[in-house]
Amino acid sequence: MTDGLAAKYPLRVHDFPPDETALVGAAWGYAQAGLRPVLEIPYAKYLDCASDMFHEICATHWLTNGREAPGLLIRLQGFDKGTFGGNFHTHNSLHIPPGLDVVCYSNGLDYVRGARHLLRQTGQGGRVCMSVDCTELLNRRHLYPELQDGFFLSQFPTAQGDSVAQEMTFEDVVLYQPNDSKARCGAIAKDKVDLSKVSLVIVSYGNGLPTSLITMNNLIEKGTLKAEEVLVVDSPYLTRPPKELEVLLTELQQAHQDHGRKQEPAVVFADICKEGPAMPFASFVVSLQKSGVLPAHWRAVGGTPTYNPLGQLLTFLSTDDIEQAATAALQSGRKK
Amino acid sequence: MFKNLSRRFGHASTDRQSAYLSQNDIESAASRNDLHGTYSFFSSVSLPILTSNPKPFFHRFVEFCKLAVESGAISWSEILTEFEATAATVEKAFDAAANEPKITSREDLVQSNSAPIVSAPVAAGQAQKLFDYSNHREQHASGKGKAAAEVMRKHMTALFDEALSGRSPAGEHVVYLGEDVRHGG
Repeated sequence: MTDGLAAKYPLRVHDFPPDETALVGAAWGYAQAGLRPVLEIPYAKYLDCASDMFHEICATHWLTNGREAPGLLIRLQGFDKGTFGGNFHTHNSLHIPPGLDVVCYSNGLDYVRGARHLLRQTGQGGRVCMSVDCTELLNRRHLYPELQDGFFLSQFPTAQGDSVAQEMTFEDVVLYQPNDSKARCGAIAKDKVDLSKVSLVIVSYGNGLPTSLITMNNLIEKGTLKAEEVLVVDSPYLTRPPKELEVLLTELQQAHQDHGRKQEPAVVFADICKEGPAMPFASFVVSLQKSGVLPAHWRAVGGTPTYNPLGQLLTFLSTDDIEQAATAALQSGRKK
Repeated sequence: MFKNLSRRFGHASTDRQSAYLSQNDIESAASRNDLHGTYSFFSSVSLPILTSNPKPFFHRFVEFCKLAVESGAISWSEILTEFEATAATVEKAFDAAANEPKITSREDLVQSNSAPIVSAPVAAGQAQKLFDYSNHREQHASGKGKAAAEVMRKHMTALFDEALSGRSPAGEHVVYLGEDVRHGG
């Protein structure tokens, strides 16, 4: 990922040996000295080795009552699905302590715009942020490889000055619905979506986006739902529910009420992390319920709560998992 | 192996070691504490004694100091000055922290988890949510647009190039650290 950068910026790209405690500690020291470090952890599981230092950094703003806010951006590579390396190279659990902003982008466009926002928050604001990078998405080109649809290919969004239009904030989500492209779906602006017709919303992030989109297309192909009845929401910010997600869920329920729909809206939270306490959407459900915007009919589904064996994709979130959850949530939402 | 490790302090500042250790054990551990002894040592002895007859249990620390002095990097009086200045800074910081107004509400505690969010500037006459995905994706399909369509990894490399050059919102001082990142990670 840093190909060519050391040659271009020899004083700014620094190698460290495989000692994560020292690496994380050094990054914090760099930040305290006034630099703006981007810290790469090559495989997500390796962050466990630096756990104490990592947690101290996350707590520092709180511990010092805001006196210490140097800012640090952590790039956590090697997350989720893959057949290489088993548990140590396909880690899919996320513990998010207070004081840490975590994002997981599903595509290059969102990564660039989102990372600009992260760099603003760490470099200007002094926050501690972590971007979780799914291995499988780094070189992915197509939603359906057999169709060569180019869904994940895009042109670099060059920054046109310093303004909000260049960034994807923590509060932003991206909506997807079926269309007539090769991939059979694409991003859509919210004002183009008739929420009163949407019966199912699938919320996901990272690797979960292509899995959710394929599930959406499968449900339509099977005749379970029509194109305008399903919406996929890419929600990259994982520390808490983004405001745009809360607004969307509120507007969805309001639209159904206003139009007297027989089918109450259903939501599936499709999380690529293992089901259990280290699954971000588990805490989303709690927050959304507290704020009163969680629809009555919902399901949450995640990876299998075990360790990932070598050479298999058995334990990762699948289209079948999401489809089963969607069917159950839709069944629950049908008024008798 | 663990039985004779020197114990520097209790579990926490609230830990009452006298509840589970004898006074003799506590004092014995303190006497083997390089850091505790160092402060007492520097506070109580003069420079000639420091340089000629270091007490055995400060041996390692003073040996390092001797190496630094003999290499010409620093003098003994500079070491003592630095030590006293650091101690004074720590005391001052402690007093300042102890006298800060206390946080008494849950909301204020939660607010103190992180520094405030920094908003990006909005250009005059510009709507905030303008990003058009189709403009960057469909141009690939139609062959339009000057830039090549690339995978996510290439975009990430270009983004960090932008950051390292000082052109990102993080400003001038971005550095990139990691394991084997100099040859691509």
